[in-house]
Amino acid sequence: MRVIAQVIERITHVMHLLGGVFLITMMVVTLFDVFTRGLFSVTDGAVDWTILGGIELVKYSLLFTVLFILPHSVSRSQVIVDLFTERLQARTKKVFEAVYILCFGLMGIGMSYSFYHLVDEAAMSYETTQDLLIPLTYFYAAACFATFMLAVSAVTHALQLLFSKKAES
Amino acid sequence: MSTSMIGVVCITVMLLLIALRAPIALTMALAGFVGFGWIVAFDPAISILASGPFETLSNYSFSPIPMFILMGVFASKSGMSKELFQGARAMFGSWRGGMALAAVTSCGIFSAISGSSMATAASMSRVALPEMEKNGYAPTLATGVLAAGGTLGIMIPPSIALLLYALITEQSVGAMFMAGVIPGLLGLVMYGLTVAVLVIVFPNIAQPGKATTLKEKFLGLKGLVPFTGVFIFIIGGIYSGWFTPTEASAVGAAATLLIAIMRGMRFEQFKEAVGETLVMSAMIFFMIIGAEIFGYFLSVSRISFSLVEYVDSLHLGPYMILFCVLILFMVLGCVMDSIAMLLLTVPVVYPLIEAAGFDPIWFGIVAVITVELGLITPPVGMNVFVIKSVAPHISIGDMYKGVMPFVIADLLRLALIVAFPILAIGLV
Amino acid sequence: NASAEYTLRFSHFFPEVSGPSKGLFLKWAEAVEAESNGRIDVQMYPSSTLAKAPAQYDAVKNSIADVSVSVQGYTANRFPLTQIVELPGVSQGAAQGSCIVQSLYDEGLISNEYRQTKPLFLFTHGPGGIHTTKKEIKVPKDLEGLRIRRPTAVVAKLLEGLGAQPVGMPAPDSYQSTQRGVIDGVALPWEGQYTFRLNELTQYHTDVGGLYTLAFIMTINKSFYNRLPADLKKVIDHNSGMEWAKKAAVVFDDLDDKGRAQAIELGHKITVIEDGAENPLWKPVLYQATEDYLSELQQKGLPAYKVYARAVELSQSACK
Ligand code: NA
Ligand code: NA
Repeated sequence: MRVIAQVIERITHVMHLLGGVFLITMMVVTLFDVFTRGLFSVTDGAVDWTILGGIELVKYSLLFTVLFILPHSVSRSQVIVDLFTERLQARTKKVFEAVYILCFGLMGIGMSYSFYHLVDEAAMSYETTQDLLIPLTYFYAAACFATFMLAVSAVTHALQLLFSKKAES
Repeated sequence: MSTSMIGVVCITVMLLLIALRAPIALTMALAGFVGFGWIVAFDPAISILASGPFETLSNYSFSPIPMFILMGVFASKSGMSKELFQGARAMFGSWRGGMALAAVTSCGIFSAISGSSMATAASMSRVALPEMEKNGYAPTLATGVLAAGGTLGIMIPPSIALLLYALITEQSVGAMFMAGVIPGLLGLVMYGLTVAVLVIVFPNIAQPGKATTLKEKFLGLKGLVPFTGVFIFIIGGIYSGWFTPTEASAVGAAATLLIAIMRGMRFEQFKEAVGETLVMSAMIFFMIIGAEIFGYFLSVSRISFSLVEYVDSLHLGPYMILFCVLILFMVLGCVMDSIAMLLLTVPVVYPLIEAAGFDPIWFGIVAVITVELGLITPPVGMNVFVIKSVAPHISIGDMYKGVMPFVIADLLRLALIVAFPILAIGLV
Repeated sequence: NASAEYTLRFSHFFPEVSGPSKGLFLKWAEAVEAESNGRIDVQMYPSSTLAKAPAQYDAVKNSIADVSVSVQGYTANRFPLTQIVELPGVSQGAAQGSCIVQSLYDEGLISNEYRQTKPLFLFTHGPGGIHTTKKEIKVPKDLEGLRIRRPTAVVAKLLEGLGAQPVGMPAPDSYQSTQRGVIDGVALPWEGQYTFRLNELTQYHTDVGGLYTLAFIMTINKSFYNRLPADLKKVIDHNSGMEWAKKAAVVFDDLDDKGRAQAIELGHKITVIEDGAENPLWKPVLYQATEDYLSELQQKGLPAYKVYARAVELSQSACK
């Protein structure tokens, strides 16, 4: 169990790092877009390094940034209202947390299942992105994987909360 | 069971779960999924789980959110924010609450380049909150002033909310934005006054700063240099047409990174900064995803419809109708995302308002102030959540407590604009 | 309506108070409600409240909505044969374009693209033009380096050929992007300039007759339709097909007039390209883009040339 949890943790951590890479990509692509556009207008069109689809690259970088950080963050980046439950026992709070994270796991399964269908459909319909004409099926496949990992990560974390002694201390 | 009844049931359960410490993002997604499945069917509900988040996360308008967070983190990692606030403290000298005033003023400045309230709150609280806490401000005041200050982002143009209103009601967006200027500045002034009143009535929620000499005030300005440098660079870039306000977030982040590197930031700290940004972005985007799924359910439940039909059946006078509409907005604003709320309710209530003889542009301002209240009212106040992500150790309860005086200020502002429509339509 | 037996969720992306919403979609809803004696209750979901503009078709496919209006080109490469009607020179106005696209569907030339739903009727908007914020467009070279919003990948090919940098986005997003300077202008018909308020932001307008058009489809969920009893199916059938395609065209052609009149009233600069898409400065590029598009589809095994030939034939015969 512990080994499996560690492996999953390792995978989601790598995804998290990839999310960081996509975040920086968003920034760099925008800079490049701004710079080449500026160069174009300064040189009156003589130096044209502008690329097509800058906005689209940013859009999908955002998508990947968020999708890839979900599994690692599901147990860490949540907002809760602790106004009414501050005085509950620590153990009770832990059980609550486990149940909720398990629900996230179910949601992840639903999302992943739904994306799985989209992968097939997009492959059949040949639908592509608007500017760069990249087949959407790749994006759905990545989303399918990311949300699957979200489910796996949530379920393992919930089980650890419920059964692991280490998590209780 | 009627769809509206299903809606009421789901929302009640959602509130209950929120009270039982369920993650807000989860409750929104859950209520949205179950409610939509109940009203429509569960097959389409499952398809929403993928298509909703996919559409939302690949929305270019959301790209500034992580960038503005990143900019703030770079600024704080390089010590810029610290110097900024030392400078600000020097400027305000020994005045109790000066830092809160500085925070709200910076929120206002930020709003001029940010169309989103959450991005404003994220970016300013990142910079201002740790400093205020460090300087002995009560968490209630520190978070309240920032959550409220953040809402200036959707009133001071550019503003996504005003734009959406203009599109739905076929009003001129230019006129809509102009109409937002004075109410936005009025908000800034009233938040400032609120800070002043709070500090006078409860002196222990803020600490007096050190008295500063003119020379210290002048030296304090040095701390403002990098920040104002980036700021002027951004504004200059936008106004000269080198980049767009959306791009400005990324350009600003890069500029801040450059300064940070010049001040000795190394790869290790850079990684830390990116990591922190991701954690905060995850928190916000989990809720954006939840709100998106919840939005589908709210649409098909027709709750807003039923409420408005009911109001209509009462045959009330114009100001009574306006009052009812605003109450409806406030109630919905408690649990709902501001943009989704505008999209859902404005088309429904707008004919009512038009028939009652109100100016459409003026109503847009009134509506957006009311909707923007929803960003800071419990239990679902997005700005408060944003600040929670910056300061996880402060309880949400304390934050909502801190926000209350500013809610009152907003209600006063609303009353002023209802009483004197010229405040909104004077510049148009 | 509590006495209704069926509730029909009707989703589209136009503003609720816009011309297409009031003049077409609400009219359709009223007709269906009246002819079914109130047994079908139509619930309207305007302004993308139930699905974003590019997701409208899938919303019907996935039963999120029962009826929706979508732009085929917002989902790139999904309805490639239908988009042939969008190519330069095929149609000169909404009436002609709607007639062509509906005929192509009725003749079974493009119906394979719609197997997942049951189309009610297809239509097009009027001639698309170029509208810019700062620069007057007289010749293709004026477009160089400008970021222009375009609706579909087909129009992207045209603009790219002309030297512009096309940026894809649905019409409802154009205002915000233009205002923020994300784009320097838009490709839209006058109807779109009016409906989405772009006349407020763009002072320069270039009419290139026959530059492009945009196909729309109003479609109904298959299982929703199949669930209906025979008499109600008849009501839906009665409110579909060519008759409604023509009604749609009237609404869009009228709005084109309004949009143009609005720009004139605002004192804007309107440039009319002589002979439109046939103008020697514009034609080679547009012709090349058309050829590229068709040959690409043909290579994928789609009968592109056949559909194109029929579309052109229709424009000169039944849909003249
Ligand atoms: Na703003
Ligand atoms: Na709220």
